[in-house]
Amino acid sequence: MPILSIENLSVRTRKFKPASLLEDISFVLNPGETLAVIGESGAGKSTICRAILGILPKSLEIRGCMNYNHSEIEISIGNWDDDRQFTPLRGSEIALIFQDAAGSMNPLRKCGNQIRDIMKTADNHTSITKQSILDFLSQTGFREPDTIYRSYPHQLSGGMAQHVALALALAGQPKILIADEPTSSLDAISKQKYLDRLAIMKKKYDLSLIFITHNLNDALSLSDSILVLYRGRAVEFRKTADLKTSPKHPYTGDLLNLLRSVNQSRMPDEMAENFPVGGNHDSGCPYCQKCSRATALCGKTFPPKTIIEQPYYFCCNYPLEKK
Amino acid sequence: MIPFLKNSLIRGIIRRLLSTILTLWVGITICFFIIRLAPGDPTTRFLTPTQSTQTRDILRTRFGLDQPLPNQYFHWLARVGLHLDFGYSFLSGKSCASIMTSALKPTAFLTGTALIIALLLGISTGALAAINTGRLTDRILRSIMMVFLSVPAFWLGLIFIGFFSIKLGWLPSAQIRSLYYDQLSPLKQWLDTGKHLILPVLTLGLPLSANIYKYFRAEMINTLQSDFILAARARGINKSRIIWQYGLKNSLLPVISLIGIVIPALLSGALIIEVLFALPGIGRTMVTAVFSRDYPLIMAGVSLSFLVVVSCNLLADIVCLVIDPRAQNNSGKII
Amino acid sequence: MEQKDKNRPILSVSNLTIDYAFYRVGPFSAQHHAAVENVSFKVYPGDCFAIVGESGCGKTSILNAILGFVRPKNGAIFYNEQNLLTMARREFRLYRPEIQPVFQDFHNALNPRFRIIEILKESLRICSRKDISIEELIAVVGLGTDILNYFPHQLSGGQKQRIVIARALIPKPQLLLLDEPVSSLDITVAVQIIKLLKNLRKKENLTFLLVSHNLPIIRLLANRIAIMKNGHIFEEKPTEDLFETPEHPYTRALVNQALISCQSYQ
Repeated sequence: MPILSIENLSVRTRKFKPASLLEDISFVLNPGETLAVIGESGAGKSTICRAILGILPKSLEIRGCMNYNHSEIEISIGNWDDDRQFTPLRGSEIALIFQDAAGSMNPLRKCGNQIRDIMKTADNHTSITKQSILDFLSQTGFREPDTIYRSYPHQLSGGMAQHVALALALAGQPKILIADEPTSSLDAISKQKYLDRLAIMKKKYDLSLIFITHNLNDALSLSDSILVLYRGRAVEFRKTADLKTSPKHPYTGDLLNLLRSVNQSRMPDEMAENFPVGGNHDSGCPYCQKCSRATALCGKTFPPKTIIEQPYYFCCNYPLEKK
Repeated sequence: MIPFLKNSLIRGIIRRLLSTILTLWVGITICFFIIRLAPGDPTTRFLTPTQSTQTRDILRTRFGLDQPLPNQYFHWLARVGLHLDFGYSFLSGKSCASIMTSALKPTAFLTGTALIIALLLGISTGALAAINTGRLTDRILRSIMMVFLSVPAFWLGLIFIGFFSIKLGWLPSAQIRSLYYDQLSPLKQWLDTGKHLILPVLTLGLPLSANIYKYFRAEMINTLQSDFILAARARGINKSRIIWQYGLKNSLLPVISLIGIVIPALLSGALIIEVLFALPGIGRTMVTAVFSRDYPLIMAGVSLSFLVVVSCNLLADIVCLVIDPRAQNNSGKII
Repeated sequence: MEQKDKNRPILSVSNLTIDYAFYRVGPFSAQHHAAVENVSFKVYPGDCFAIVGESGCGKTSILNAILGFVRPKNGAIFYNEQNLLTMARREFRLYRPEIQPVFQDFHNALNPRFRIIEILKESLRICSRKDISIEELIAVVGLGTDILNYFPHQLSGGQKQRIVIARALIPKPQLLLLDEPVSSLDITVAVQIIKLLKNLRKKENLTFLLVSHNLPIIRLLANRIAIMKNGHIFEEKPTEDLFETPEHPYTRALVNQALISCQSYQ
């Protein structure tokens, strides 16, 4: 049974000219697994994770269904405007790591105190000793917990700030961790260190992970299943192993071809260089202008979900065949 | 090196202190020469058309005005610098220091209370408006504050006098104490002074509070929109704690440096208010001194207000330095 | 124009040291922090020379020094055997058009209140180029004329980057300094930009000095790579040699990391 399932999540602006940020997204997260969400910048990756925690601005209209099941707790959310429904989830059940780690911490509070804030919230306001925070820090893999405890966010280097942000997320002892592009600002070596730490913590705290990234290599090597977003639409949701061998949606296929040639250090073949500016992608498949297989049908309506094996699906009229 | 000088904070403060003294000296020197170069002569006040120019020369020698300007300057600087002696007023003959101290009390009381009221009112309404952005509370507060922001202080003062003193007769319209002040018990004396100060303080404080409201509202909205507030919400920290500990506290920091900027405006505002409400403060004393070219008194007043403004700025900077961990150590990442 | 000698470096940086002063509280005492220490390298005509290193290692400072934005503490920068650091301001201005930068933050590189056509017209006017039309220029970077009437915020990241590159080409530069040209772009767009740059280099006879932290992508474009860390250049080699025989431990770690991440999908 999945620990988290999202059904038909849509996010639109409420202005006089409604624009759609996310349209009809569905996915499930199984306990202990890693789900990678990939897509270009602006595809709606961050919107998904903010919607799950109910921290999107009130000016957005959110529709859809979310089910969170963990042991006895079962929360289903249909009314996204109600802040109280999310309160029990935040921090202690689902934690979020932001892309800008240092920016996601209070600049005027020491890291130790910020961890205390979260522990207190999660433990229903019992007093937390300094020792327990130091213990927690060394458990999360810091060699000098005391230095971390005393330092302010601006004193941390980029890599260290990400590690501290991870600790902050773990302080509430969540069951699900959502990491929103945690490594995009790190260089190759600190990124590897961070990913290693993340894997250890995931095992140690028995976490389920939603890993949001635009780095395909990371997504493919870390995840159990992958959700591919393109301009606010979920075009494919598959097991990672299946996706690697037989992508169905042409966008996924193009992406993987590109990745293969970059990984093999050769220039990719000619691609469509058509850049549509603006335009209305609400009705048709957003990829149809770049897609080699698109027909008039693709431009009119978004193709229905083709379910391969519950809950995995893709949305394309003319899917790629297995090679 | 002396060990405590190694502390970057203390070194920073000492450095600021030195540059403050420099600023003070440069400012006062400029003032000294500008006043002297302005047309007008203090002796004209004492002369009637029948008196001869000899009387004028005697007066000029007495006041030390016959000497060249640089000599006068160094003489004055030496006296002030070495003995803190500001000399005697040309007009009244009293020592400038005593005139200033007696004038300082009402002004300090007026500006201090006005500042406190403006801060309390401005920050609380600003925070309230920021938390309820776009809602009814915000809109009502904005229209009220817009009124205080746009009316000139003296006009507001006149309206207050017209309404509270003349129409309702609740509060006195001028002076700092009643005629029968000396016959009152000490407690009543306090109340009497307080009663006299209500209107001036409101006239000075309300427009200022509107300014602080506007500044603080923007600052707090900015803070509440920043990433770390969103992250704090996502981490499950409850709403009141986010607003108090994260939102309000982080937005208060820039207000401290705002105080440093606001003090000069407050002092010049006090000048109008003192004239309007006939309060015997520094502003009114200075106005009379300038009109009669009472050089020693002008310089004493200028030095005093310089000192107040510069030291308030210094204090604001130091407080910021002490409170904001980011200000102290920008260069080194410790980990 | 005289024939460029392939063996003479177009840009030669020797013993470059740049340090920044940190003013802490007052203006009186400063602390110094060396961003670049004793860095030397040579870029030959037609090369694509890449400096790779983590953020904060001093890559961008080198570019800033070449452009004359920061004054190095030590060292020399020779452009066509002229020392850019010792020459007079007026003389330096003559070289300005020949060295053009493309900055990392292309979102802010375009004036948000100008339409694309105005942005490009402005540059054409400043450089008094009449031999090329805007349409031709746009075609060089692979864009259609329909884009000209848009404002920068209406364009995607890849389109903005193309406009920035087009603008950099207007003064007919010899040397293009590219600061992280693709790091904030998605892989599909990044590859297209890399392709564009590669074609431009051939067609326009350009030399690139490139700065990046992304080794796998840079591998597609650069023919020489220098590895930089903490202000020092550790290793400098032709691209393929670097991947086959990395010598310095840091280079080895970087290359390994790049290769491992590439194994996720072959």
